Amino acid sequence: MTGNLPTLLTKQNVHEFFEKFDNIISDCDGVLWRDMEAIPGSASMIHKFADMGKNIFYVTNDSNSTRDHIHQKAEELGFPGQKESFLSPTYALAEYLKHRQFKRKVYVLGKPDITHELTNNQIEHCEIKEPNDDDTTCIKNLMSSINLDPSVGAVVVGFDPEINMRKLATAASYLWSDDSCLFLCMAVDENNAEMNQPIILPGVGAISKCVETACGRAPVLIGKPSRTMFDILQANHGLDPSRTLMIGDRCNSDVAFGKNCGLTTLVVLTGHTKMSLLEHYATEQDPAHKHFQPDYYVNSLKDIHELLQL
Amino acid sequence: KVTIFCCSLQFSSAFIVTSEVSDLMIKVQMAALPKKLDKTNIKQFLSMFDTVLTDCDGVIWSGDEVIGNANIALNKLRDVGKNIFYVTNNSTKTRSEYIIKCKNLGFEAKEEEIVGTSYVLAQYLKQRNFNKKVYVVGSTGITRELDNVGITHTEIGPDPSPEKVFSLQETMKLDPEIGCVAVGFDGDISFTKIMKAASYLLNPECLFLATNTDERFPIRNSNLVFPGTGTMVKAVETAAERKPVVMGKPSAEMFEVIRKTNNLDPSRTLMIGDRCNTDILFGKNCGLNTLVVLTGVTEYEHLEKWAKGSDPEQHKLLADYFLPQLGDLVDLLED
Repeated sequence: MTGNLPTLLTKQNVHEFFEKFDNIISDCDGVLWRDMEAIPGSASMIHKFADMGKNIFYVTNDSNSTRDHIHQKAEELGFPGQKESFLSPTYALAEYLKHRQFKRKVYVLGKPDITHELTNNQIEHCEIKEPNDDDTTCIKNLMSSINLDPSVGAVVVGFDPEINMRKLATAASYLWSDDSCLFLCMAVDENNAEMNQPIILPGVGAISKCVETACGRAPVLIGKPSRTMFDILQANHGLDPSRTLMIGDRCNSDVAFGKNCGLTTLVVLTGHTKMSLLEHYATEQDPAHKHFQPDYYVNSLKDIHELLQL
Repeated sequence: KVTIFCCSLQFSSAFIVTSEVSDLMIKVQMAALPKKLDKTNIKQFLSMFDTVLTDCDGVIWSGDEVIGNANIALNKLRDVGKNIFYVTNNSTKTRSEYIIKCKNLGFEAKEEEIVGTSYVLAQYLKQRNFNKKVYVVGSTGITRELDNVGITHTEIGPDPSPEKVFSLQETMKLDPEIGCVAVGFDGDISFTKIMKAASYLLNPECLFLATNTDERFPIRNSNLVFPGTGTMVKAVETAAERKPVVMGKPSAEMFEVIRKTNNLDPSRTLMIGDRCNTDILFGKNCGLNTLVVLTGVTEYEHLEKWAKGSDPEQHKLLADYFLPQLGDLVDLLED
């Protein structure tokens, strides 16, 4: 049964392992930090990778922040890198739309970080309005008060703690009534269960599935595991996938992302994934889950540092 | 080489497949379109069933208006000796509230003949001797039916979205009495409610029930679509990473409730509906005869598309019979 487990990094294989890579792409939440605190040993390991001559990139699914915010947070927590090394879905969204010569307006279900990034890139968007106390939930009254803006050509779903029936109905109606309207979502994260708290936060994935059910079609994913963010890094930095390692904590986003882009994948157990999940994937038959199985695993970045020193 | 000649009395087409034995592939082709009810088949149709289960929204009424002569049609079926049950996925009304609507719109109905998903949900818990509290994401339809069976629950209505979601994680306290999360249609759906529901469901002992999963209500003559209960259920299901037990069509739970209390024979029962992936699929799941009407979400083009295609899942959505509207039965029943 353990024959199908990913390979554990040990002092025997660790040096040879890292010689295979010029580039390291790291996820952030659950690998480098949790919420506002750095995970012990993570910063010094990233510095060590840089000393070893590796190019470091940070790719996060956190769609609460602009690229500049993520860069600033990393700096404050002791992680090295210029802002061009950082990618978040908000920046990737703007790049995605610019690449497609998108000239219409974007309807955003999310927080102002998304609209700030769009504005920074000269992309027009609807105002994110405060929820109205007068918002009525009687179907007739609600629907008669919704007027679709004909210049909207894309609906974007991000992290939206202000989601309500009006926003849901509006977003779904744009997508239902216009086949050419783009449907983009920032991430697939269902929740933040890895924080192990008694109160769980719904993720972008929960809101996105909600809109998807209402309008009857699936969104294009900007965040991991879609290739979008890797394509941007590759275009800007010329990365060779065969010499690139992806380090993450979430199998269905980080590992799947790595596989979609042809990278080698390493999972750390300081975040969402625990040993029990790796054992589960190793023993079950579902072919879809092959895509979630990392090539290698290790307890934490701190452990790698210790293994390299032995 | 093997030549196979297939002819099915059920399908309207016959086909010949010739192939190497090593890669023998029989392609399932079209399925039969529902037959239109008319003077030539109405007698045979009527002899097939004693009991009628009819959906409501899109079949007998639309909002607060009767659809054509649907009321006369049902009353006539009653006159020729058929039993009628109103079977609706709508979770926003109690049975007694439905009686009022039926009476206002000219439909004969007794409380025992109404089967709504909120009623089924309350029965589901009662039959299992549930003695804890229910966290409700839904309407008074659910809370009042729970009151009717003496089960305690949280209140419905707007739950204001938090200003700082991350700090709410620290301050929010879960009620230890909650042993079930029930999700129905909720016009006041919010991030906080999804958060609370998903948090209660972290406990594997906590039951997860959904009234139904209807995805949406297209608004006729407009470019708008209204989110259905399925959207709220999907949000909680995704955040909780758990699947609910669904009370409503196409799940057989609703039929179980009526079958037991009324000793029904599925093969002598007809299901009438407008939404094929709930009403008609429900009929098929329970072994009933099925009739689809085109006054709701299904259009004739959908039936044609499913019949022409080779997807067996879509073939399951094809009813035995169809009518443009239920009121058409009035003329057919004249004789």
